Amino acid sequence: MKLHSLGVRDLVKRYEGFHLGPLAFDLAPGRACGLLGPNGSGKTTLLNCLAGQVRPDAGEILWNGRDIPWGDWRYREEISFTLETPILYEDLSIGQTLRFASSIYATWDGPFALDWLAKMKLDPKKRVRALSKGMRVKLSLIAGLAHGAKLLLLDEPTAGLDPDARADIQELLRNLVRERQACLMISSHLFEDIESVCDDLIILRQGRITLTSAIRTHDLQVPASGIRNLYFSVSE
Amino acid sequence: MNMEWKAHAKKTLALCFKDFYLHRLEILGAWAGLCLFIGLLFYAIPPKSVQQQVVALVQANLFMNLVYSEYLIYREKTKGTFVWLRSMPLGDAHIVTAKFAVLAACQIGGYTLSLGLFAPLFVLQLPASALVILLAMICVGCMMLNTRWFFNQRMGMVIPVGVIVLLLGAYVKLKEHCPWIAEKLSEGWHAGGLKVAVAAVEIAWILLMWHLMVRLLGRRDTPRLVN
Repeated sequence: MKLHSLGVRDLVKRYEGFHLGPLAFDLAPGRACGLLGPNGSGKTTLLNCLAGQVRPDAGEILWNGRDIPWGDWRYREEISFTLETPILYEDLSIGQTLRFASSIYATWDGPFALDWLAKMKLDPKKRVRALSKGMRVKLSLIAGLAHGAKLLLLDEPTAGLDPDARADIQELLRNLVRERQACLMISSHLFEDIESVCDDLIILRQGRITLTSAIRTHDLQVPASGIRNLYFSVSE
Repeated sequence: MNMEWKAHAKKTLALCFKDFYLHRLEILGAWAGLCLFIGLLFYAIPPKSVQQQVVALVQANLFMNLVYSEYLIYREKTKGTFVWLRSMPLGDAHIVTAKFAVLAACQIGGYTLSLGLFAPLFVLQLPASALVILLAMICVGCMMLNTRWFFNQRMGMVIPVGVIVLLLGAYVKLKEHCPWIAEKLSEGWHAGGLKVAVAAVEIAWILLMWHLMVRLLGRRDTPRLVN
């Protein structure tokens, strides 16, 4: 199995009144990295840069050691980007949404999509407009993962979800990272999400990394309370 | 056709099919509205010549560009679905090509339907003129797709209309001040040479609009392209 890794070198994005970076970090294959930070710390901007939605002003994004230039859409064949509130076509049904996605991705795994639709209890005939936020997140994840993505970027996917939906999504992500040896980066305000899914932690404040730490090694897992303590110790 | 081109074609067709499917009812409704409007207009004010008839049909079909661009661009912008498209392995060229193709298909459908119903003789007698006029409407539509994406709602509509008014105004002024040039143009049009030249300019314009839109999209961050 080919192993995939993500590297970020001196990444900078400037907006009026906000400056992200310079940021540098690596994400090894089969590792999940949690992004913590207060609102406006640059989590979404960082994920947008990695997903090719926003053009960095400086720096490099390396995927398998290769620099990914802005606008390289072929790179997106290997990534999955899920927003807090996924924006999908409201008038399409779940089945039509997946069919559309399947015609765009070269490596679409139909059985995977159907399998997870059943596991997530999503009815393919149901229209997107009739879905709750949790169901939309699940659909967006399935649409973004069924092509065998090796880099999963998730921007607060479990925010506002009920505990059952959160548990489903956490399970899906854990399985995918282990089975595919994928790289995952997830931003969240929930310490439990980070504890449940992540191996590494990055804390961002005012556009800068204030802490990078492993929170899971072979058999040692920092609990949510420990992550909370880490988070607040850095902010103080 | 090699595999890569097949993949490009498959993606572009998927985007076209998605737009047709999403807006199928609105497009059919718009065509029905167009025919109803023209029918009522001709009933209330019967055209005195074929020329008047065609001018009214062209104006109504030009107006339809506003409707098509509303479905194809403005809704994608306001609902933010472009973010999803840009998270997929799609180049901006795929997206723009699909939008242009759907707009052209809508124009061809609406124009053919209205002309076929209300001025079939014009199409049969002057097919080349009908084709050049159709291309002109697609030109305006492509410009409208551009302006509606890169300007706000009002400016996106005003700029193309302004360009048309300017061109028409220039022609009227030309007729007033240099009638011999207008006469030459008219002769050239009837002889057919000018039609070919105009069609070539129109095709070049569509390609220019396509190129501009791909370039402009490629320069902008996705969050700046949605409302």
